[in-house]
Amino acid sequence: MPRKPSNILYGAEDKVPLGTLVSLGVQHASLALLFVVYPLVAAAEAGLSFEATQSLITSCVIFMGIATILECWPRFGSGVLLVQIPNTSHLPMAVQSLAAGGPALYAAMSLVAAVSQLSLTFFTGALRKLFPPEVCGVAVTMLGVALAEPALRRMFGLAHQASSAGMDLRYPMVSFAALVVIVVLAIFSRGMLRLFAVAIGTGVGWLLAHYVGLTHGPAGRALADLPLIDLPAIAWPGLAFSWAMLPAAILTGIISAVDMISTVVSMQRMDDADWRRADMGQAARAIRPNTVSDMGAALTGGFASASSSAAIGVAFATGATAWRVGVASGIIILLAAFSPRLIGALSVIPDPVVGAILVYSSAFLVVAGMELILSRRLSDRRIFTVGLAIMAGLAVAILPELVQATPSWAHPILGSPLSVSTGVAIGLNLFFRIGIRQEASVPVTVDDNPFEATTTFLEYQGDIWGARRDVIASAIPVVAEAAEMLLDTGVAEDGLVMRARFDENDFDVTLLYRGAPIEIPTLRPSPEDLLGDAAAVARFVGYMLSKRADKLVLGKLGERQALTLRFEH
Amino acid sequence: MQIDRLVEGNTVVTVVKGRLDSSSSPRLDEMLAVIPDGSTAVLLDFEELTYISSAGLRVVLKAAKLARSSSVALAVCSLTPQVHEVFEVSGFSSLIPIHQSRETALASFT
Repeated sequence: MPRKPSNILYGAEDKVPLGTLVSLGVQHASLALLFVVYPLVAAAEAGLSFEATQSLITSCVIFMGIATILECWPRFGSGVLLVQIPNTSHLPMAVQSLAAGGPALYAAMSLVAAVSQLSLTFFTGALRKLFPPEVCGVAVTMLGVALAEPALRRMFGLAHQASSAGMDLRYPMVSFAALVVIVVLAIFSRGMLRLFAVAIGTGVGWLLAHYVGLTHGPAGRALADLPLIDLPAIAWPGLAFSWAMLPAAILTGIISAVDMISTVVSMQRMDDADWRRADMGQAARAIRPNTVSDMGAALTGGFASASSSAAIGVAFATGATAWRVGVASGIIILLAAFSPRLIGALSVIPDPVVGAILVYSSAFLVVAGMELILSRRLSDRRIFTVGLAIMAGLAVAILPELVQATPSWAHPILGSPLSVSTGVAIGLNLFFRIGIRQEASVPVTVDDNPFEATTTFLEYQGDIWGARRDVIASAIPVVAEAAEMLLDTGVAEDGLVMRARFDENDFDVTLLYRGAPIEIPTLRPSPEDLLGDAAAVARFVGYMLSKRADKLVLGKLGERQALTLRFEH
Repeated sequence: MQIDRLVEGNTVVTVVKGRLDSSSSPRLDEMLAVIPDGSTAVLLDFEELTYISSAGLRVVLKAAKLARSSSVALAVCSLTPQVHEVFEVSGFSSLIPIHQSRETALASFT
């Protein structure tokens, strides 16, 4: 079981008291339901009828709830706190297919995207190679960057004003007030106050927004006119096919999978104080229920969903990453599908308040990504992999005309800074592997300083292989000690060869030498042995090496003795 | 490696900085081979010691034996986590008193 970080109150597997569980579930569900605006935008752009729009939204909310429950529940899913929102990666494809062929075409293309996404989960071994920590870090950083634009627009009220109009200072004022409350409570408070940091910040922002006149009723109708409870309106949309839409559908599925992997890895990192590498098996267990739910949504005329990056910020602010919170929020989302008034009420949360929550989540994700990137030693190759990948993502974010200059079928993938950055990072990571051997060796003689020779060799190889900093740092003194003992005591008769090998799970260093094998006692020798002969010193050091390395193996390679020190990676 | 020596009351404090390995330990060995007259305690301050090998441990062990035979107290202080691990694994932590800081070590001698 992962070790819970000190800033997390309820870890992934912790049980949460019922009242707290429901309250945290409401916080997550409320935020998730706000994003229903995305399928509304798609429906408006495509000119859907009222009935088709109703089906698109209702089915989306139902399957958001089902997917959230299944993904979080360890029995069916990942056991990680993930909350679904309408999948923004589907927006370009949804607008195009709904306009070209109506709900039937979008349903068929959604099914293709779901199958495309699902198929990736059967290649976790390949995913592990494609997504080393620095590539995951790029994806998570860009997840935050992608969230920044809608967050800042809401914070400064830019979505509501003509470009020539001056800024309405009420928006940033409300937004900053809500943000300050969330940040202060998340950092300085403990217990219940922290658990409800986001809810309290939202409440304060909402009150302030009401005071300065920034609140509004639900679009079109009064809240009281909406039924409190009603049966969901969903319908079989039919199926239609278009070869022209097929590439976009496949790419949408791949982008959605990358998005899901990024959110799962962010949660893994937040929930494990000793996090070492992405658990792609767990990511696959999150993606599979998501694709099944997307298929359900497609067959009932709904918009697809994906795990929310904003929910990661809420989890961090509240210090609660328990999967049970996710199940609670999934049940609440599901129930909300039966209450048009509830969904209507959520749609009136003022934009600058939503902006504050999104800015908080965006800031967290950007830093969480950087932390992932810097968890490994960075060689020149890795520096350029990360730097160029982020630049590529920023290029399409800052210069949308670049995307417009490409064929329309490429817009879904090139329009997303997340997918561009991740794609470039994966490509460069594979390209820069050319010419890197997974094994390297260097001779060490009695004229060398063993510590300096070891440090130079292992740091260089660690950079090239992208090994973890802490593993290399702990290996250096142990390997240096072994080399010094073999050379100084004369056990190694004519110098030695230091050979390092890296395979992501283990970092092995073998010292090859001609001479007698050293003895590894199981009980600690007396420190007095250090004042004895070479064999006694070698025995004492051998014991220390066996305790300081994760594994010590003695063997022979041809005529030479092989002392192998293994460090788990 | 850098070695500084200073006297605090009747205690000789030896501050070792850098790495203590086979190439640098003879210098420390030479310095610790003589305990100044009138000293009642020897303190090795390892706050800035980044690495110690078995050769370094050997020097510390010899100094401890010399101090014991001279009826002088010997202790080490301010170990970094890496050096502390070496003292723990080697069993030196049960042979030689280890103090968190120079102040607590000096107080223990009075």
